[in-house]
Amino acid sequence: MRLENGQLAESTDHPSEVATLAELPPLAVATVLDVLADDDDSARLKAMGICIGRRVQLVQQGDPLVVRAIGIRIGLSRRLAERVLMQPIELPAPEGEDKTAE
Amino acid sequence: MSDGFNITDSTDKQSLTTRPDRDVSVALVGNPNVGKTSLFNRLTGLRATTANFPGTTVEHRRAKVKIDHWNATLIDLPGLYSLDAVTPDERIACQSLEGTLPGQSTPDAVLVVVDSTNLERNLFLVGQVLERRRPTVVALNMIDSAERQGIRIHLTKLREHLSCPVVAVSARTGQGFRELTAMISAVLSAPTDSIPALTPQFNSCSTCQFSARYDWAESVAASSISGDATAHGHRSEAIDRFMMHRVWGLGAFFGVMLLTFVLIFWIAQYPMDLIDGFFALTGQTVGAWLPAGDFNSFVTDGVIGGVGGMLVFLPQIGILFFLLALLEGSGYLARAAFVMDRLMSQVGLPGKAFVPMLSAHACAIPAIMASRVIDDRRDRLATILVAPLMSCSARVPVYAMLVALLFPHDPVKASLLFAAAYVLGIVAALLMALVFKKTLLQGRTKPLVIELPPYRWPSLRDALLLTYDRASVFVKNAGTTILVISIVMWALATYPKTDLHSLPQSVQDQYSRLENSGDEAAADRLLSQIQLEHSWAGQLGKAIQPAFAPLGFDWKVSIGVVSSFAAREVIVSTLAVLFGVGEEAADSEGSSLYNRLRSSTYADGRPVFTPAACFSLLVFYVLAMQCLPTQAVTRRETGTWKWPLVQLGYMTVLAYTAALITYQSALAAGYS
Repeated sequence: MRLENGQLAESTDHPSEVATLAELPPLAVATVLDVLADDDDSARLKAMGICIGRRVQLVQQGDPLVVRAIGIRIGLSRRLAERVLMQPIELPAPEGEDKTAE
Repeated sequence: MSDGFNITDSTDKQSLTTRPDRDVSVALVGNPNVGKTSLFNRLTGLRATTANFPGTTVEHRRAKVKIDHWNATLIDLPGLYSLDAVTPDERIACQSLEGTLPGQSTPDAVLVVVDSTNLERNLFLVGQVLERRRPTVVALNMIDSAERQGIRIHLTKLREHLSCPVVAVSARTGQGFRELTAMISAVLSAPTDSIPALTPQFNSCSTCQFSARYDWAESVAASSISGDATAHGHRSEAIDRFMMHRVWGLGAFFGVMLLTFVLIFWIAQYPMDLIDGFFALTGQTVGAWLPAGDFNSFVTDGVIGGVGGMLVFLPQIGILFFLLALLEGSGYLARAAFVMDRLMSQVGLPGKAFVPMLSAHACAIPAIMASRVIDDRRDRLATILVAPLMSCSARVPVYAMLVALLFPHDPVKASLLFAAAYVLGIVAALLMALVFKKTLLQGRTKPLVIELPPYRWPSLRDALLLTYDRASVFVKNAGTTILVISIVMWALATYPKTDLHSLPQSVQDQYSRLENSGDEAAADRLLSQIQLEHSWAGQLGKAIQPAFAPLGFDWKVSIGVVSSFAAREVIVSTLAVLFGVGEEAADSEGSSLYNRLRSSTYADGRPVFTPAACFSLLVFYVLAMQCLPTQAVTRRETGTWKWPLVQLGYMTVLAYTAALITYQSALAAGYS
């Protein structure tokens, strides 16, 4: 699912690269640009470390899918991942390497 | 309470030994999966009790322990990721920390439990707690795992950053606990106005607050840790490539659950036999010792029978909770919720609802208690409402009786029918969940957001403590209800007493014939048969029979249905008494009961237990509520009588309608 909402694309510097979390290729690392879920769900995501400016890695595609944020792996409904806008910052990393930890 | 602190540092040492004991409270806060409960258990052991926060259904554990001269009440708050109060648990934990819950004072100290292997993430919550400027101690739990993984945490640096005591501990080995309690005692003694404000402060707009806190956590973690913090988690990921695979994951899930259930039923039969035997023996002994009469019957049948009937389910419930605790501690339950999420969302339930639904096949009571893991209120209510449709172990004796009546000489058909009864329960539960999510409990299922913690060896000690805790909750809540119910049911089946001389002459003749021929047992059976028939329960059954006639139930079966209103398995012993084979026949092989049932007829000579009537009765027992203890637990877990009534209402309508359709279509198809 590409961005349906043009207004949101404008708010980013690189609209062409923006993808949803659900669209990332496995093991890609990206920065969260925006979370478009309702308040309750975005609060849950934020508490898990999926909030604007944080780096998130997609670990396993599917529904639900698996992401890694701040050292933990999180199972996530696909429909929720589709509401998280990401800006890819790295190509898929070699398998098993943790790119989100410093 | 903390306002009373005005001891200066210089007098501290001295006053510690002389000051009288003080009552204080210490709250434990931490992310889920950091071993907070393990740490709590290590500090408190068997002293802990489970209670709801006043006016809520949110549970917590608390215990009084001695820390130096303090009489400390330790409060284990629900695990949470942030203090931003999204879920009910988080709201309650927040209010508890701030002392805004009714009847709860502000805790005198806060113990934040942190996973040493993942400092950065955990520091987020630490920051939020420190901002509240309460006396705080940070416990770096699982320090042994961190060391094994080559993570080195510089405690002095971390203390500087956080401006509060930081202790490295391991709840698994007990390492660091002496220092931990000393630190808790120290912060309790220190003046509260000496607590520094955390820098930097995050007063900015709420959207960037999170990000700013995470930045802070990242920088603090980066400057306090050396060594390779990235190495862990590979083993877990390797296991998960199988456990969370689209196909293999489902297979693994069903394998794990099958194994769990085989273990429950296999291990539980031994203690269940023992309990059964023990209460039978006690009943006999007490019965022989007490003078014959109503009081004797009250004690042996009402009280001892009632307590035994409740405790017999305890082994299954205990083993179920024990195995679930092990699965939870190992980290597998999170994977189970993940794997089942997509399937369960088809009926509007979250993946987490699967374990309660499966547990309901042992007993609906632990299932309803286990539904606490479901975050969303509507999802949880839907799960609670449909859980009793699953075929619990109390249904097994009833299924066994009906299946034996239908297919006495055909084990294949018998097993198929048995399995079909289970499938009917599952299908009905899933369909009803869908119906509830479309009507009473409208709203989309909460999307899954679940942490997948690293796999760990579960702690036997924690699992045993949890089992003990859940078992006591069961005995206290369900147990007292069951006892009251069984006494009421005993009274309904015993009164009013029947006088032999008021009976028709033919019955009196039959009785004296049996007595004269020396067959005392047969005479007693005849008397109890007549007694039950004339009791309130019997009268009620006869009165209600016209309503059950379209379902194919005669008056004796109707009495059985009425008597099993509170506990379904009672129908077997009721029928045994009504058909004059004596209660003992229901416990033994059952064949004398089955023979008698098979040969029973209506007044005009038609058989009572036709295939159509048996099918109808089976369907009725799969779907009917018939368990007051479950209703009591639903009341406890939902906080109102509304939901147990909804449960009773829809299940009664469902059972009646389905049995009616079954009987009438079986008749139409020629099974009479």
